[in-house]
Amino acid sequence: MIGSESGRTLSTIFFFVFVAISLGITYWAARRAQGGAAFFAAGRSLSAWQNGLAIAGDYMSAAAFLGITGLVSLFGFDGLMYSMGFVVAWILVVLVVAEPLRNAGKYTISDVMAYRLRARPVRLASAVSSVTIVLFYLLAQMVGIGAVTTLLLPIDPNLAIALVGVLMTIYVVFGGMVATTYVQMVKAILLMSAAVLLTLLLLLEFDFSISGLLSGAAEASGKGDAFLEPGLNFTNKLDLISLGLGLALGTAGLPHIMMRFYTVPDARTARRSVNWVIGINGTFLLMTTLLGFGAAALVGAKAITAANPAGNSAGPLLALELGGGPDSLAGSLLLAFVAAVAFATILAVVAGLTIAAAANIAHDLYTHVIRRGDEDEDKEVRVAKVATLAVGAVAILLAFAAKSLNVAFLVGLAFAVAASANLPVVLYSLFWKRFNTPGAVASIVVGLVTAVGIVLVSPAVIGEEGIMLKGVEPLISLTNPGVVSIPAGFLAGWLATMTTSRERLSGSRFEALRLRALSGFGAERSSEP
Amino acid sequence: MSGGLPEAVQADLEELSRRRTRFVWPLLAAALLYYFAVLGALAYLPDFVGARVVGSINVAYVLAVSMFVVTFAVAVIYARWSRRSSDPLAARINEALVAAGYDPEAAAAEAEREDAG
Repeated sequence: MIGSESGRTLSTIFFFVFVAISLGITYWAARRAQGGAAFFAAGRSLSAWQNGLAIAGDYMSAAAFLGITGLVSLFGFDGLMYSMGFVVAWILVVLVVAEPLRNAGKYTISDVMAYRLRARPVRLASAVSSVTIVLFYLLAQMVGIGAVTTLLLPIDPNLAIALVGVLMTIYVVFGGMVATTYVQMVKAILLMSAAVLLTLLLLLEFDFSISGLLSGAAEASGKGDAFLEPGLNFTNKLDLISLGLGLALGTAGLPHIMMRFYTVPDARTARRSVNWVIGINGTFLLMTTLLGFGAAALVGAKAITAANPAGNSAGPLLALELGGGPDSLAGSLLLAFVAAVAFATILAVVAGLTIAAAANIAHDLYTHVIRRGDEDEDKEVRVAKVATLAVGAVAILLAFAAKSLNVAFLVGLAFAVAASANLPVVLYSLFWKRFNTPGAVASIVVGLVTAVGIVLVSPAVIGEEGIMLKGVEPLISLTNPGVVSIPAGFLAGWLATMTTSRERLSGSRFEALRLRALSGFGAERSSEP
Repeated sequence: MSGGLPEAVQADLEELSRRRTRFVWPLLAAALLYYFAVLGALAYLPDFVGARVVGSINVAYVLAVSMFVVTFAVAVIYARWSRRSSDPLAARINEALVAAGYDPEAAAAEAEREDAG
C-alpha cells in the first residue's frame, strides 16, 4: 500500500461517490430498460457522441490505462505497440464493419454471421467464441482490480473483487444497456480528465519537451537508447508482429464493442460514433504512452515492480509523484483521484463485458439455438438477467484465481481470439457470396482452438515465466498467437466452404443481406423517432 | 437478383456496391499495408528505427505517432467520401423501396421458392 492514511480515505470517498452516481443512473435507467431493444441496445436511440464516448469507455479499459502505462514504464518503446494497435484497429471497423453490422444485425455480432447461414450451428459456435473472448477480457479487468486495491484502497482485494462483481451485476440486471452506457460515459469523462491532468503536470515537469521526457526515461531506465527502441519486451520479433496483427484486426471481432453499434439509430450515426472513438481514444492512447515514459523517468522501474511485478501500478505511482510525493497533500489527492478513476474504469468495462456475454447467451444460445429462433422478448431478457448472475459469479472466481499476469497481455490474447475466430466469419458473411455454414463453423472452431491452444503451450503459461509446469520448456516461443491463428481461421473458413457443397439459402440471402447492409433498408428501428 | 427489386433500385444498389469496392477497399488496403510496413520496420530494421530525428526522438517514435495521424486521416477522408458519395445513394434506395412498398422478407421468400422450383 502506498500513500498516506488521509489519501486512502480520499480514494475511498471518491470511489463511493462514483458508486453512488452509478447506482443513481441505474435507478433512473431501470424504467427505460424495459423490453428487448431497450435492455440490449438502449432503444437504439443514442447520439453519435454518446455512443462514441461509451465505446471509448469500453475500449479504454484497465489494459489501456494501467497496462500500457506499466509496459511503457518497464520496457519503453515496446509498450507503444499496444497504443498503435489500439488506434489502427478502428480503420477496419469504420471502413467495412460498423455500418453493415448496424444495418444487418439486432443485438449481437452473431446476427451478421448467421444472417445467411444455418442459424443453429453458426450461433452456437459464435456464442462460444464470443463468450470466450469476453471471459479473457473480464479476467484482464479483474486482475487489474488486484493491482489497484493492493496498492491504493484500504480494503482487502478479495472484498474489492466481490464488490465489483456485485455492482456490475446490479447495473446490468436492473439497468441493462441504458445504465451500462451512461455509467461508461461518466467513467470515460473521468478517465480522460485524469489522463489530461496527469499529462499536463508531466509535461510541465519537462518544460513541454517530449525529447526531454524521452531522454529522461532512457537515462533513468539504465538501458539508454535501447529503452526508446523496440526489442526489450518482444525479444522474439515474430511476437511483435503477432501482437500488432491481433490488435489491428481483433477489435472488429470484439463482441462487447460491436454490440454498441446497435445502440444508435442508423448506420450513419454508427460511422460518426467511430469518428468520436478515434478522436477520444487516439488522444488518450498518446497520453498513456507519455505517462508510461514519465513513470519510467520519475518513479523508476524498481519502485514500479516493487509495487506490482507486472507494472500495472505505474500510472497511480506517477500520479503520487507528480502531486509532490507520498508526504504531500496534493500527491495523496491526485493518487486518490487516479485510483478511484482506475477502479471506476474497471467497474464500467466489466459491466459492458457482462451485458455482451449475457446477450450472446440469451439471444444466440437461448432464443436461436434452444428455441430455434422462436423469439419471446420477455423470456429473452429474463434469460439475459440470469446469465448476468452466472457471468458475474464466474468473473469473481476467475479473479480470485489469477493475479500475476500483465493486464495488457491478457487483453492482447482476447484480441487474438476475436481476430482469428470472429472476424473471418463477419467478413466472409458480408462480402463472399459462396460462403456457407461449414465454412463459418470451421473458421470459428479452428480460429478459437488455434489461438487458445498456442497460448496454452506458450511461455506465458508453461515454463519459467508461465503460471504452471515451471520446469518444462515451452513448446512454442510465441506469447501471442495471432500470426498463426488469424491466417488459420481465415484459411479454415475458405477451405471448408470450397470443399462442401454450395448452400442455396446462403446465396439468395446474400443478396438480401447486401441490400440491407449497404442501404439500411429493413434495418432494426430506433425506439425514439 | 434480390427477389424482384425495382429495376432502378437494383441499378442504384450495384452502383453503390461498385463505389464502395473502388474506394473503401483500396483505402483499407493502403492503411493496413502502411501499418504492416511499420511493424516490419520496427521488428527487423533496428538500425533504421533507432536513428535519431530530433533530440531523443527517434524514427521508431515518429513511426508510432504517424499511425495515429494515418488513422485520423482515414476517418476524415472516409467521412467526407461517405457524405458525398454513398449516403445520398443509400437514401435514394431507401426512399424508392419505401415508395414501392417493398417487403424484403416476402421478396426473399419468393426468391427462395423460385430457386427451389
